[in-house]
Amino acid sequence: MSENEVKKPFVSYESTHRLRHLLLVTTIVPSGQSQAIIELNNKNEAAMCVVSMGKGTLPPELHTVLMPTEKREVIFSILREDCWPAYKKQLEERFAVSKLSKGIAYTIPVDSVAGVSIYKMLSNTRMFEKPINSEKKKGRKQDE
Amino acid sequence: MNNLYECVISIVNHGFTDLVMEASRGAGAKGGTVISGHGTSNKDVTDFFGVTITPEKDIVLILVPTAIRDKVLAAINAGAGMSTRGMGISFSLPVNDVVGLVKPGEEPAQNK
Repeated sequence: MSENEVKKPFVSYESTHRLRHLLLVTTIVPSGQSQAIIELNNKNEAAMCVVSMGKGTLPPELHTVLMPTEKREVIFSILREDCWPAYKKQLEERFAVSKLSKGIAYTIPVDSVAGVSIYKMLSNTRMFEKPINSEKKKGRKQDE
Repeated sequence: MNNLYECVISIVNHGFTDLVMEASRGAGAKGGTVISGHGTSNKDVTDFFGVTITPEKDIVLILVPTAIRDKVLAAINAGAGMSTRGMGISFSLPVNDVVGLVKPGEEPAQNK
């Protein structure tokens, strides 16, 4: 950086933009159901989904009652907090369809992310979202 | 924060998930899910022998009511902690909301 250049003061992203909380959604479903859950996630603006193969730990005598198969798929996804209610409703509907589509899902709040660009990616925030201050100025101009 | 549930995560050596589940069931947990993983801590050993040694790990996810979280964590630590063959570490994360769990006293919905 040359000496003539004036260093701009650091302005944090959260001071100029409205932050939306992120949730790590963990959905556990029987094996073979993950594709449908991923589609649900995509429909509800989830930024990413990771599927991991897993297995249940229930005692054998309970398998037939609660879950017909021990093989499971665990889907981790990042969702904005405001998208969760709609996703939850759709999940409840899906879990109620049949025994094969049963599962559980839960959300863990995300405390921090590594940088603004990662936040924008994970929260599916549009790149042209304007700062809060510019919206206020725009509002003032309209009032005048 | 008033969370009804907590997600207890235990990372143990491969094949020792039974220890975790026995301990957690004894403390009141219902069931869990196991996913596979591998450790990253012993790079030196891998370099020395010239072969790839990946310590296999199992990750156990258990959803428990917040009221019994401490009891479950203590039980897992006693049954599958660092002093056992499972060499497990356990921690819990707060859970905001849950879908699909049958609450105590409720009957599961009759599916088609």
